[in-house]
Formats: sequence, C-alpha cells, structure tokens
Amino acid sequence: MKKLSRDKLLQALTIGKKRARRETFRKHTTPSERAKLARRKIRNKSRHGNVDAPAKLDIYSAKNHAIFVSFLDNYRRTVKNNKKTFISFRNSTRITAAAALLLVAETDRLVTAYPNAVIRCSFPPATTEGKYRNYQNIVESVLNQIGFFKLIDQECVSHTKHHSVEIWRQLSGSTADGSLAASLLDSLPEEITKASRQKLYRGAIEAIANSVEHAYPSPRNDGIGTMDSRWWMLVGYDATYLTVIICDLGVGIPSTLPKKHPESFLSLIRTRFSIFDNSDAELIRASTHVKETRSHLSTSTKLPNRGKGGADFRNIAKAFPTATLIVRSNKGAFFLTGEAAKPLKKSSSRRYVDGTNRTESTLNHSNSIRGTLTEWIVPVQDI
Amino acid sequence: MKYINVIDFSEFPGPRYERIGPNSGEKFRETILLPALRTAPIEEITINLDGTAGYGSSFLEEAFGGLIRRGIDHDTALKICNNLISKEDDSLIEEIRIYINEAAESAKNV
Repeated sequence: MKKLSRDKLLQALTIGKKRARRETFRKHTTPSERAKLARRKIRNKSRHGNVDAPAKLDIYSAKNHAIFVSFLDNYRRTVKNNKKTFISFRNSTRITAAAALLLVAETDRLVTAYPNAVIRCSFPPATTEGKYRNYQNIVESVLNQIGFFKLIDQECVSHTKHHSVEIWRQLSGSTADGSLAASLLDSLPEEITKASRQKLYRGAIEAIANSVEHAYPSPRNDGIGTMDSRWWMLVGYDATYLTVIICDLGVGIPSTLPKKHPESFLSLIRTRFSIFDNSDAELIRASTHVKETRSHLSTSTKLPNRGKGGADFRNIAKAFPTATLIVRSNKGAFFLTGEAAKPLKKSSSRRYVDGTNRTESTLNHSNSIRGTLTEWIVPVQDI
Repeated sequence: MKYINVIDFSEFPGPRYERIGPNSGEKFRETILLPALRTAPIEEITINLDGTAGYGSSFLEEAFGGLIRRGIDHDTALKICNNLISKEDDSLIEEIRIYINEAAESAKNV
C-alpha cells in the first residue's frame, strides 16, 4: 500500500472524524429532531447577510456609479434584515474620495439606526503598482484613514498607510458649525494659503448649512425609517489634488427645490438658463442659479433672501480657475469647471450646457445615491 | 469710536440663522451690530472682518442685509460699508454693499 503524505493523512483523519460525528448524531436523534435542527440552522444562516463590495468603489464613471450605488442599496437592506452583515472587499482594488465618503456616511447612519447590528468585513487585497510593482493597499488605507473600520468596531490589523491618503480627514456633525469645517481645513499642509482656506471655508459652510436647513424635511425614502439629520465632510490632499466633499443623506435637491420655491420662480430660472426638463441633473443646475435669479428679481418683487449658497459653490470655480465643482443629488450630477480647466471627458450620457464653452455639464444616472454630495476638486498647482 | 472685531464674536462665522448652527449672521446682527447702532453714531462704528476662517454669503447677507429688514434705513446701513475693514479679502465690502442694496430694493417693493 502506498504511504500517504502528511497532508493526505491529516485529510483522511478529518474525514473519518466527521463521519464518526455524523453517525453518532444520527444514532442519538430522531428524523423529526434532525429536521427541526436543520430548519434552525437555515434560519440562523439567513440572519447573516453577505454583501460583495464592487471591484471599483467609485461614482465618477457612469458604469461604476450604477454598480456602487446598487451595492449600497444591497448593504442597507442586508443590515436592516440581518443581525450580522459581512462585507467582502476581496475584489475591491480601487476607491475614490466621493464613494469612500458615501460608504462611511451610509455605514455611520446604519450603525446609529441599528446599534445591535454587527458589521464585519474582509480586508481588501493588496495590488501591485508602479515601475517596481510594489505592493500597495490603497482601499484598506483609505477605509482605515477615514474611520470605516472604527465605525464598524473592527480592528484593522494591517498598518499600511498609502502616502496619497495620509492627509485625508473625515468628520460629521448635525448643525452648521463652522469650527468643524475649519478643523478639517486646518489639517491641510501649511503651503495652502489663508486666502485659499477662506475660499474653501466659504463653500463648505454654505454646503453644510444647506444640508442642515433643507436636506431633511422628511425621512429618507430607503426603508430604514430613521431620522438622522447629519452631514459628513471629507478633505483629501495629495500631490496632485485637493478635494473637499460635503455629503448628506437627505431627500435630495431634486425633491426639495420644487417645494422651497414657487413654480413661477422656477419657471423663470428655466427660461433664463435654458433648462428644458425636470431631470434630477437639470434641477441641480437650476439650484445653483437661485441666487442670481433672486437678485435679478429683488428690484421687482419681495422674496426672502435665502438661496445664496448656490453662488458660493459657483464662486469656487471662479476663485480657482482650474477647479471642478460637482454636485450630485439623487440620480443627477452637475459639473462646473473653472475657465482654465480642461473640459470634462465626453461620454454618451454627459450633456454640455449650451453657451458655457463646455465648462458646465449634466449627467443623469440610472440609480439614486439618496442624498447630496457637493465636491470641489482643486489642482494643487492652483492653490 | 466703537470698534467691532468679528473675530471677537467668532473665529468661525456660521450660517444664516442660529437654529441652523452657531455663530450665525442673525446672532451677529442681533447681539453685536444692532446694539452698537443703538449706542453709537454710525460714523463712529468700525467693523473689522479680518482674522476669521472665512464667511459664507448667507452670514453676510443676514448680518448686514438683515439690518434693513430690522428697520435700519438704507443710508445708515450703507454708511457701515464706509467703515468696514477687510484687508484679507476686500471684495467682501462690495459684497456687503450689494446685500444691503438688494435688501433695500426688496423692502421698497413690499
């Protein structure tokens, strides 16, 4: 008889032990008891939900947007319906700032709504990059840096810190407290001038105030049924770009705009700025024109002096000529680039706004992010 | 001479209304600007905007444009702009002037 290797021997022993255990179990239980135990096992198993995170945690490309947003929907549903949720990041090799903030905000909201839910995850794989094919784990670094593992109370054993995410900071609040926004901007390196910080602060405080004042008139329509009126902010800085993102998980601009302003006023914006449909993207674009339309009207009508924030968002693109502003809300996205910036890439779903020399464009996605993300991307050379 | 340093009110000027967040334009107007206007002649009030983290337009509109809505007449409100100091960003002074003018125009059309 052929001598078994050590591995084969161990395998045969394990099989034997399992078989013996099964026979003992059968001997000591009746068929009805076994059926009852099997049913319990299935029930327990169904209380453990698994969610596979996409390979690219990203909402910049339309394809990745659809996949990532449907992952978030699945994640929310799984946490709602199960005691334990396991997120598998085994395929995730890329992450972008906006998607990272959205994931953290959703997780923060879920752990607040379901304090007894247990969320665990596998760690994303390391990938090789660059000339020397060095191993890097950028997804894990980002999630660790912006507090995802801390939120789900899972220790991140690896201490890899990718150099490009070292100056990524995230926080949240429930009131428009300028000191919170400033604390993140203060974490930026000293070479960023005070004037630049003030311009970023101006946009940030307006975006946060808009979230607090307008984003949460009613519970979010996502089946969670909780009222969590917070905003989240992320500041990211690397060798190439400075990114500032404000996020809320409210009902979205396309839902609040028609409720906050009379139809006659919105019609005027539509006429003045050639907005021909009621898609989410066009309603976001309309919201950025509220101030100038209001100023235009103030000589003839008495309107409340609200709605200045949209102009502050637009001013960032004036203050930093190569910057890009992106406002995403529900299914829509509005893009505004500074005059010296390269026009954004053409795609089948992107529509450039006439008369803006391709500095403004809109895009409608198939899935809703169920909230609003306001993002400024400023090239470091422009600061 | 009455000298108002916004940084003494807050280093982090906030949103329009106090119900939205702390250090709002509404609070600045009610606790600093209006009491100062009641106790000193307008020509003697100097407001220094420098040193803060920055200003959202809602803060500025509510603080200064809001003076008109609280009954301060247009000329008096505009005189404040003559004694504003903003060395860090001089465009703020023009912006405040626009808010005061817009608020006055709105009030005229009631």
